[in-house]
Amino acid sequence: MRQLLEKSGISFIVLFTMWVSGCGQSSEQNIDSSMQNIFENYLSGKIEGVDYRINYDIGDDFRGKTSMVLWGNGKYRIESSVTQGRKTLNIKGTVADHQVIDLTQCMISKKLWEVKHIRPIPGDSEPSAKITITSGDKTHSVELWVGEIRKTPAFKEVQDLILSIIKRESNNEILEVGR
Amino acid sequence: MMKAFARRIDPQKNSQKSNSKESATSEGSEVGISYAPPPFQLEASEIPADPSDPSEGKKQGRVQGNKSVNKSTAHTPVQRIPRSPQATPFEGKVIPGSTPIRENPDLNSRRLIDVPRNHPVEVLGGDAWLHCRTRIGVQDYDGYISHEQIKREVDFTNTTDTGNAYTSKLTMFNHTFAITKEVNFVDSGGFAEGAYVRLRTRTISAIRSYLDRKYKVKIESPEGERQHGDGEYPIVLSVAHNSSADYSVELNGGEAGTSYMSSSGGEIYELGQPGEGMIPDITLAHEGSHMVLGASDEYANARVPARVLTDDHSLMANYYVQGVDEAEIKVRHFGFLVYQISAMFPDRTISIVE
Repeated sequence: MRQLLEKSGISFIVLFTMWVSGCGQSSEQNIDSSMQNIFENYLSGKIEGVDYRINYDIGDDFRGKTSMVLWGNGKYRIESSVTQGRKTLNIKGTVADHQVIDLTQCMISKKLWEVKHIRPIPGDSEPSAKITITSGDKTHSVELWVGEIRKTPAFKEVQDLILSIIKRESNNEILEVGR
Repeated sequence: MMKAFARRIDPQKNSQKSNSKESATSEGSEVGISYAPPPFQLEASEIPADPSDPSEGKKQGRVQGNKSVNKSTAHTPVQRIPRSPQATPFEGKVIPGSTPIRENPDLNSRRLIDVPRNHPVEVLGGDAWLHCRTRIGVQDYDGYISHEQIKREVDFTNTTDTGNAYTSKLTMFNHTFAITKEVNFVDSGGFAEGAYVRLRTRTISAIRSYLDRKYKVKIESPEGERQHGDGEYPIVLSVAHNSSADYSVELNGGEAGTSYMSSSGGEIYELGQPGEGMIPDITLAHEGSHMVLGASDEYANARVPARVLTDDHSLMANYYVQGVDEAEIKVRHFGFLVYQISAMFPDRTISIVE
């Protein structure tokens, strides 16, 4: 009986330790993979297009800023002051579904969720660029200071796809270069 | 209109600062601070008064002296410290290519060794011949160097409201205060032939154009009695390219983008912001103000909620909205000098004036 209790005690400690360390891991994995899960759920059809949103924001009021929100069903809204003469341009419309799919696949293949700052604080005159993924009440984002983008190919390649949509849909009136 | 950034020194208090952050909000206010004794005194008071000026008295004499500084010596700073530095020891540096340290304070005295340019020496005191100590290689030398061969410079570091810290040099000459920074401008590619050097040169020129000789340091004795060193000293400012400098700025050719500066370096885009075609001088000067003066931005940024926002046509504010032509560096951006210079003149009123 005593041996059984001791064994049970040891087993409990072992199990408890595994559970605690497992919690840490699964929490970490959730943070890392949750953006990926949204992407995969969107591609597999588990998430409706209207419930899948990609936001892209770069710049500031001083040097000009560009924002785009793109839904899974292809609808988008774009606003930018990075134009000739710094006039603010607002456009909205719809792109083909496959463009959202291509962008999503790019974010998966580049493991966008692994993007991290190189420097702890932004420089002076240095705004940020941010990509946010939203589905329902879940929101996940990655952010870089603009000076970090060139040194972060994963972010840059995703951004290039986003900028190609922005430029095309604005007939090149939006001049954003993403740095 | 006369604008000034002034500090009156209270020797009872003891808190040294060299940060420009608070300067935007405390212009003209009095702050109690005390510093170490002055390492030496400047010689503006020895500038002769203009004999054609009929006004007399100490105050008028000082104004005359100031005019003389502006007109006759503004472009020819005398690069030496006074013959009798008053508070020692301090670290000096050799000005010419090399200068001998001698056994005794006498030109005919035995030469111990030649001290190379910019080599540091500890100045212990003296009159005309300064008692100095220095180490060259593994050997220590104790001797005398002519005061004309030594300058004093200090590094100062200012931190902007984003937390980026920038270090430059402040050198005290007889008739000016010089702020200098050596920068390694790096060619990151993309330039047409010769364009990298042109952008580098233009960057240095733009910074100088906006920041050099815009204000003066004014040193006054509080009781109205003129003392040695009282006067006005133009603030000269320059940036020099040095490929071995600690601070690097990447110049990106043929590309538009957001130019910025940070503690660890900066980036400048030849084509400026998209649509500009070429980076404007004002942006080069704005970025230069970060890296040379440690001046903070003054436009709204949600990431920096405590930022001081201004609408007085500051070079550091949103000049796209307030007007590019009117934008200028402000007296408050040199406010940090008050703290630096107060360290040398603890019983004086130090101000920055136009």
